[in-house]
Amino acid sequence: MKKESGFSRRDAMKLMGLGTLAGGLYLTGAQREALAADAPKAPFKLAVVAFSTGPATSYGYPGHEMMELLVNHYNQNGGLLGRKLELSKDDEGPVAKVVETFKRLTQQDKVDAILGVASSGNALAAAPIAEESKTIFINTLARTHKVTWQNPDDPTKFRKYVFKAVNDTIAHAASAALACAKFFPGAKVAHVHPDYAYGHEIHDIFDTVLKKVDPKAETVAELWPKLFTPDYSPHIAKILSTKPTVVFNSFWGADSTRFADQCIQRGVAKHSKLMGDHGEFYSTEKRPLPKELIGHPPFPVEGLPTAPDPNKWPLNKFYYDMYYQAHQNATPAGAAFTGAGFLALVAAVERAAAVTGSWPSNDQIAAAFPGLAVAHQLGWSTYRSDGKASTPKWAGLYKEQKPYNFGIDQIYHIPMEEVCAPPGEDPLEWIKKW
Amino acid sequence: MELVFNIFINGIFYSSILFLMSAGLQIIFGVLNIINFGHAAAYMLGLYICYGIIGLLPADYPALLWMAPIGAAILVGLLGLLFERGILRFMYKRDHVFQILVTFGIVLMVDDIIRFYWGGYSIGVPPLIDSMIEYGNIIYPVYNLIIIGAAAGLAFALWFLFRKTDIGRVIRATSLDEEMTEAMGISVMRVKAFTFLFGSAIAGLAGGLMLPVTGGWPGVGMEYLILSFVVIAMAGLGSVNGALVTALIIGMVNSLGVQYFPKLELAFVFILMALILSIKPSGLFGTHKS
Amino acid sequence: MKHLSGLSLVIGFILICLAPFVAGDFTVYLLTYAMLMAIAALSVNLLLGYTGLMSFGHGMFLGTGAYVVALMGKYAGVHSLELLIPLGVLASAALAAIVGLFCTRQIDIYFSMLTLAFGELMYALFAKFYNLTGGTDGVRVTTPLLFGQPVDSGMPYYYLALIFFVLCAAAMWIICKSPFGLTIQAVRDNEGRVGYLGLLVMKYRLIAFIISGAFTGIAGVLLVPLTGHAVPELFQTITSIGIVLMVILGGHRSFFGPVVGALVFVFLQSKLQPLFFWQFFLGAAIICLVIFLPGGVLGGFGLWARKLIKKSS
Repeated sequence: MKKESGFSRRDAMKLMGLGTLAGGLYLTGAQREALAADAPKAPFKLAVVAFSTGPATSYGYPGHEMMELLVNHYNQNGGLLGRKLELSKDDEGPVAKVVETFKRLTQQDKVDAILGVASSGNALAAAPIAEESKTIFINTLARTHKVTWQNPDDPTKFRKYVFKAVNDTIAHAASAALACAKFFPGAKVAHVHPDYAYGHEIHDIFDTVLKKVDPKAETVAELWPKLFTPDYSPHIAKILSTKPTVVFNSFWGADSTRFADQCIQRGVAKHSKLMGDHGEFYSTEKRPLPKELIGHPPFPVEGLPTAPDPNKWPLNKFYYDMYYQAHQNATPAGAAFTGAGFLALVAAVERAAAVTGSWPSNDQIAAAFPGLAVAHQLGWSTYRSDGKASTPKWAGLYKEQKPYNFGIDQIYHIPMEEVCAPPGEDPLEWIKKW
Repeated sequence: MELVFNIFINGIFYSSILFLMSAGLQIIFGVLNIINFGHAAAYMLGLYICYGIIGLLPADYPALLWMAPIGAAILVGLLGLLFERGILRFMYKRDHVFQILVTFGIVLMVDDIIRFYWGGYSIGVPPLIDSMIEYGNIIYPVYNLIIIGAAAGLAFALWFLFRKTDIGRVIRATSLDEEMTEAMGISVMRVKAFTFLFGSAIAGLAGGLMLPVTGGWPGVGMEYLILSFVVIAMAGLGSVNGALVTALIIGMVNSLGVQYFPKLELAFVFILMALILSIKPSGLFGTHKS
Repeated sequence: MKHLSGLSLVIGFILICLAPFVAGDFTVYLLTYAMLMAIAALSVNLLLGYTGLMSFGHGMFLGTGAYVVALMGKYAGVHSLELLIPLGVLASAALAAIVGLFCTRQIDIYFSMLTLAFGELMYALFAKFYNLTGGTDGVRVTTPLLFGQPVDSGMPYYYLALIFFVLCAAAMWIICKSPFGLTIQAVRDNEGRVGYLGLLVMKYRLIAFIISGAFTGIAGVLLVPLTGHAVPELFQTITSIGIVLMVILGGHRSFFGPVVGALVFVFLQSKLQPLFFWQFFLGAAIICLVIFLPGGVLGGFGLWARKLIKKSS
């Protein structure tokens, strides 16, 4: 970390420790030392399960990279309250493999906590295994809103060991609609989404919310390409013929950059604004954001390079720099989300330790999650009684920002209180009443 | 007018992609009589080798960029030959089942070799020619026209090779009757090796040319191979002409369908396939009798 | 030789029966999984080994069985296996009959390609109608009931799987040794001659396909309560190729080859998966096995045993 940044490792650790303050408890320096001296000799076993093969690697694998950096950082600074962290890396893969991996991690390797899982289907299959074995599972990447529910059809009963670090699909799509209404009032929207459950959910919720916040906005086209379609020319022809102001898409990985590339080539970016995760996926491909996309809106997410504003939120700069120095790249969303999940785990350990006065058991750590507030590179997350974190989302417009692939101009902080359904309500039903 | 042009050219473009991806598969099937899953590996190696070469080339001479897809084609062809001589040739006397499994195994290995060398993230490059044709409201990238040209050129070159040259006659003879060809004093082994090299090189070229359009990731080969399978099943296995016609049909149907029935996009290809296969189970140009 | 294989069968069976008392939870899970996949592998081998047809689409029957459980549980509240298994068998047999009408007109690679296409089609359907099927998020499956009693995961489910494995294997053994089994083998070896005998070759292939699909359906029904989640991935080619690999790995020329193959494959994969470059090693293992062990693990073992006996006598 550069000295002149004026914000050091020590400051970062302090600020992270402050996370527990919001929960009403705070460890003093002396307490920390006492806990560290008394810490169990066995390392705290942490497993990360994230895509390392296949198309979703661009979303999942940054989580592995971030955790390697963070775990090294902690181990060099005395570990987690005096306990060394032991990290294991697993590929995610299809459901059968995730189930097997979770059984192995919980039953054979007996890890203390698991982070990661990007596919909603995988997260839903993994959660009961973690819950059954009383292993803490922080779902950091998948957007499904059901993962912390005991039963996928009942929004009122929650799992005790399963937590969710990022917001769900509903809050995700609703934020996009709010940003669209704010930056492009009266927008003519062309929807392009991959033809599977996630794409359809994003479309439905965005449509519902946009109609309410901006009655003048209209949908001019709806296109449903298959995942991994090699060529979007026919879709672009349709877009061009309907003359939208905003082309809203929920592509990820190579689909996202391919779609943006082809839109730029065919002149779509000149007439319409592309709204999607393009910046992030150009950055995993280590390409600068094309200049044609400057001034276009990103899909609002929990954190983007320079959002939250690093001058006001030093943790953002601290972690973005940490990742940049290791990988010469802006932190991709997958890395930032996994980092945020890990810091929540750290805060929960400290909070539980402050209550019990000793190194907490996994049950005690899990119990410390509800009501927890934690500072990380994306802002503050607060963990609610249903195990889900409410994490702020950031919108704006792309700008150039050296050395990152892009930065964010006209930062707009989307109020999570307004787009996250309260615990115990089905968000899909709740957003309709919105 | 603009719309009509767009629908037409997009259909042709998609057909070109499909033809480039499935032509090599058909040539190899014609002679070796195996479904080469390894085609996915060849396509992917073409993509990544092209990406690697572009990274090595000096940025000041854009004309040199064309060396990348050509270099990729040559290298992938040679790697294909290596695979054929090193592994596949021991399998010719075995059931087709086993041949397929071996070619599937190599795809898994190549996936990870690529991941080892280039990492697991997706890759992408800007088009090798950045210019556009602009005519009224129509904007069309020159690079896409080059891909259409490459596909048309390949179709012509294959026609010429198979119908007008001695090499082509030998290949056709081998695919019809191996024993007879052998008896004529022609080394069937060599023909097979050459065909595999040639088919792999076409896959490599396709991968190299498609890199600026589609980008790629480790595993993309298998994803697109399923597309090619659909093409060749509808075309009739082994028929290059069939692949061309089928690619044109799928391309045009897809382009029209996305314009007028966007919600059904996922179903087009399957509906087409069900139609064709229920009328002619061996595919449009298939000669096989059950 | 006969004694030897009989003896190893008995020893193997006793070991499998006792396994849950010595092995850990995870190993028991893997064994249960392997046994269910073994049912699927045996049914694939009914086609591959006995009828000479290699299916790249058996994932669709696994998926059908799985979704019968998932959707009956979700919409009808049915969790009893005594109802779900017949339903799963019916559904997958019906699907096999429809798909088979198209596919069994073909042989060799043409058959394989068509089954592959149908598998992908089923995947697309289940992903597309996500309102009904849950799409790629899949459907959760809870603990099933047998005669009104819940069958918990772990040891109870292990023995349930074992019982069904034994029943299915026995049923398929009888089918293979029956006149029907002999006829399909004759079809495999010389289609023309069977045709001259006045038998409808296609009819036999179709029946074999339906039987095979129905047994795979049973495997699908029993598989999802174990993993707890039904997903459309089950329909995909990669699942189907996995089953074929098990068959080849064990040896498709012997009846019990696929069982050994399923066991070896599941445990091999579980050992390889934690490795970062697991695909490379899996691919290399497939190539080496195909080249150096043409008869699969069981075939190789048989060869080795025969040599040993020759030497000693």
